[in-house]
This record gives sequence, C-alpha cells and structure tokens, in this order.
Amino acid sequence: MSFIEEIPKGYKTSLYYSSLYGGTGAKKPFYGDDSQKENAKSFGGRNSRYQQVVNYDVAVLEANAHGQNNNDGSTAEMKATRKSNKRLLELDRENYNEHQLAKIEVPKEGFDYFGNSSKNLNVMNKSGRRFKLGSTPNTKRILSSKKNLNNYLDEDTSNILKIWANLETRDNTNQINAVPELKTCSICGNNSSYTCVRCGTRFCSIKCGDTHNETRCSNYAV
Amino acid sequence: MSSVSYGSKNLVIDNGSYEIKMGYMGEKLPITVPNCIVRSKDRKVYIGDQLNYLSDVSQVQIRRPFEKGQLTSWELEKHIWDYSLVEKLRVNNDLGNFNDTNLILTETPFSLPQLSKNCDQIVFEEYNFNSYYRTPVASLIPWNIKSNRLLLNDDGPIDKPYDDFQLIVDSGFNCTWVIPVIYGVVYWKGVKKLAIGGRLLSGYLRELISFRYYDVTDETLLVNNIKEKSCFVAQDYNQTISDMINLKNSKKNTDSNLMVEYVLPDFKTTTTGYILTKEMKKQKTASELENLLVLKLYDERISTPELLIHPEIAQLKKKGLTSTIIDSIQSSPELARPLLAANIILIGGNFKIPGFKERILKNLKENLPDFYNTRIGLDKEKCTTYGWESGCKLFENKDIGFNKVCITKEEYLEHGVNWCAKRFNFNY
Repeated sequence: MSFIEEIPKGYKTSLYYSSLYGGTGAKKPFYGDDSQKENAKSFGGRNSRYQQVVNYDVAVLEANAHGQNNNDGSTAEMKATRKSNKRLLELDRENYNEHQLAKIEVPKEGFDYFGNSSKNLNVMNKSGRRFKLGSTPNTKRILSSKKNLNNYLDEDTSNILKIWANLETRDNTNQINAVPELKTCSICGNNSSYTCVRCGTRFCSIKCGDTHNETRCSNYAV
Repeated sequence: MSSVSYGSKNLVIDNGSYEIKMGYMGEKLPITVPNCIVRSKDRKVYIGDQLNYLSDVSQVQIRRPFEKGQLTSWELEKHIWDYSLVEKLRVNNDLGNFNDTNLILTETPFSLPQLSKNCDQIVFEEYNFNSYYRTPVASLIPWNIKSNRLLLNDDGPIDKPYDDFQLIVDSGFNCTWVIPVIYGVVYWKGVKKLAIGGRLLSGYLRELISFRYYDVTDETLLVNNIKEKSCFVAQDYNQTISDMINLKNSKKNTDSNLMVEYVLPDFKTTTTGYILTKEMKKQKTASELENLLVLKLYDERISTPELLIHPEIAQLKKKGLTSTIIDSIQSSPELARPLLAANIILIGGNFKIPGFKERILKNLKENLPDFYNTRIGLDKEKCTTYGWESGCKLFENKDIGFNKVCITKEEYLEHGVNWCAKRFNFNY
C-alpha cells in the first residue's frame, strides 16, 4: 500500500507531491534533509525506520507524458522556454493582425494578368483562362484541399516531428559556450546592467525601468 | 539508362518561401517573383510581382503558400507558378505539357513527406515534366565551383566538377539553415536550424518602430523596405550601440554615419520611401525638408540584424548563428571539420545586409580552433539567386550530374510516387 501526501509549502517550490513506499500505515514524509530525519523518526513513533520517499515534480511528469521534456526538467527553465516561444510567435508573423483577418482567397474567376507590355493596373486585360482544378485524381485532390500545416502534421505517420525538435542548437549539446550573451536594454537598446526583479527583462536606467514598468512588465501590479 | 531520352530544355526553379527564382539554363539571371498573393486596402487581390506596380501599398495583407517553410498550399502555389511561367518566363508551350523540359526544384530540408509527395505528383501529373530532381538548395551549391573558389579567394586548380566539402549557411525568409555538404551529398546529421529568418527581423523592426516612433504594425512592406535600405551589421556591437545612443541623446543635428533619415511614403512622390542622403538635403529647400515626414533611425539599424547572431536581445531563448554553425561543424565527421570550416558559403536574402561576412568570420575565428583556416564566401549581389545559378551548373554537368540523380516521367509511371520519396527524401 502506498500513500501520496502533499508536501507543505516552503520546502522546494518545484516539488509538489511525495509518495511513500513500503510501509504500513501513515508515515511522516521524509524531505531529504538531514535535520528533518530526526523529526520524522520522532513523529512516526510506531515505525521509526528510514522510509524511501520519491518526490514527484508535477510539471516534469506532465511534460514527460506528452513527450515534450526537452529541458533538464526544471520548471523555471520550461517557463522561460514557453515565454520565449510566445515571444517568437509574436514577432515571427508577416501580417501583424493575422488572427483577426479572414483568409485571403483566390478570386473565383482566377487572377487578372497584366498586359505583357503594360505596367499600368488600369489597362490590364483578363486572361480568359479558367483555372483548372487538376487533370488527374491525385492532383485534383491536392489542388482542392484546403488543409493547413497542422492538418498535415496530424496525419503524419513518420517521425519527422522528433527530427524537427532536435534540429535547433541547445545549451547542452556539443556546444562551445564561448559566445557571450549580449546584455542590452529592452527599451532603448543600450548596454544595460540591471534586470527587472519581477520578470527578468533587462533595462539600462531608471528612465527605461519606469517605461518598462508602465508598458511591458508582465508581472507588474500597481 | 541509356535508352532514356531527356528533354532539350532545362528549367531550374528555386522555390523559396519569399520569392521564386525561375529560369532556363543558359540565361544570365532568373526571373524573381514574390511567392505570395496580396490584398490591397480596397480588398482586391493581386498575385506575385503585381504588388510592385500597386500605387498604394499601405496596409496590404499577404498570404503565402508556405507555412513555416513547408509548402502546404498547392492550390495557391500553382496560381503563382502559372503566373510566373506565362507572364514572366513567357513559356510558349501549353502549361500542362512540359514534355521536353527537365526540372530542378528546390525544397526546404526535412520537408514533411506528405508534402514532398504532393509536390512530385503536381510536377509529373499536372505539368508533365520530362525529368525531375527535387533537392534542398544547399546540395546544389558545390557544383558552382568556379564562383565558390572566387568567393573564397582560392586560386587552386579546378580539376573536378564540384567541391567535396562545403558548409552552406542559407538564411532565408522563414529560417536559417546550416547544411554541411560532403562529396556533393547533404550530411543530414550535421544539418542545423535556427528559427530566425527575414520575417522575424522585419517583425522585430516593426515592433521597435511602433514602440518608439509611429505605429507601423500594418505596414509590412514599408518595414521590409526600411530594413533592406537602412540596416547594417556592426563589427563591434557594444561600442557602436553606445555611440548611437549617445548621439541620439545629445539631440544635436549632426550628420553622422550612425544615423539615417528615412523619408516615409506620402503616396504622391514616393510609395516606398527612401533614405535622405546629404546630397538630397542640399538640393531641397528648407520648406520642402520641413514637409517631409522623416523617421530618424539609430540603434534599430544594428540591433535588427544582430538578432541573427544574438537572439537574446529580443528576449528569445535561442542560440545564435555562430553557435549554430559551430554546432553543425562539431556534428560532422571529425576529419571533415577543418575542411568544412574552410569552405563556408553564405546564401539567402538576409546576407544582403552589409557587414555579415566580416562579423561571422570574426566570431567564428574566435571560437573555432586555431589551426582551422576559416574562410567565408559571400556574393552580396547574387546571394538570393546563387542557388539558382548552381542548379544551372548541375545541368551543365549533365552526364555526371543531373542524369544520375533525376527521375524521368517513364520511371515515375512505372514505379509510382513512392519511388520519388525513396530517391529524393533524406535518409536519417
């Protein structure tokens, strides 16, 4: 019989649950600290033997279950990665308001080609050719499908996603960590020596720090 | 294979996610068509390079057949191909009948197998090409041996059709690839990706300008223009940036190389905007100068391209280009490493920004072992069409090049579409 017991807050923030093995009856969990050992012994009374305790990190368990544990497993690092990915999505798009827009569709009658000699929009002539939707069953299927990348990824049976996940260089590969990180102010771009205590973003002066607090700091509450 | 008849025309299509480079072998330069359809403010839809002739490009929206570098939307791509073939390349034959044409088509490394399959089917069943070779653009580069040697300042004898060891850095619109090519074949285990491309650089510049000066969040093309015309790579980033900030804070109207004035479009005299040079300033009267809407750019000019080398300045938790190149070299066979480091070729549109070659060389020399003779080749004028040019070289060496790797229409009909995947796709 095994028990799972919640660890009181304040020990290690990344550990949430602890399970106890091999004992009968309730036992005081052992926190891995020598000074706690004495307490555990005195508390149990009935069985003062050292108990094997496994500490679980819920975030790591979840990540493992979904096969996304690329990091060393610490939650702080995962949080930082998630933040970075969010930032990447924010910057890496061509139309800024992409999510609000209806998709741009191909006109039903096809495109107007401009006249061969003319570069003026007003004198373009209609091509007259209707766009044909494929000449064989295969190409008909391809040309009429409205699938996007996510649809294709859902159908994918190869291990391409695993390959994609390992293409980018990470800290802990065979890496020479000699390229030092730049420390620049997130507001004005200057070299900076301070970081925001709430969110870890860099700024260079009190002025920039104030601007940061007013506009961008994600954890700032007035 | 001797009984197989190959077509008489040779077409190379470098199908980039930003722009298509297309042309027959023997031509000097390919035609370039933006790989997109755009919707203007008045909700009309235009295709390809028609957007260059639009009088009002503010707030255009852009849709591309590519998603994250993967060619997903053939229903769109076929329109753009048809437009480019008919209107730009002026092909004479019917579009469904390229019986006498051989084709080299480039794709992104590690394409989704299903998408590659779609691509093969369109090429053979819709366009009916005679023979066809699909490959990442990097694997073509070693065939351009004369240009490569010229770029690397190597005057050794050229006694082979292609170089044995080459490291290609392809920095495109979607992302940046570092690809080692050994004996003319991509060494897949050494291929590394950096998810930062021209789109992200533009996005970062858009954010900087919108945050500091004017709201340009909808002006995709304008921001792209500003990036192309004003950015450069600093050789000593920390020094340059503090100089720029000092200049900015001093509020003096000094003429300095560090600052540029970009005239924003008013859609009467200019639709794209331009950089105000000293000569232009002299020619214009004071009242004319006052009427111009001018954007003064300082540190944005260097921090935008710096993103490729130091992603952390945009709070991105990634390794930069230098680390990615080193990682790729380290993942390659040990004996090949110095050879790869000595034969680095930079291609792709981002390297049009001045100063990249010197900066990357400096960074690499600091971090690679001393006895490596690190050399970098870059043709700034031709870096986008370099892959197309190399494709033509593969055609020129037909007997040892193209004919050995291609698939003909007969083979396709006999073996089916999976045969293409077997021949062209990566084996990891």
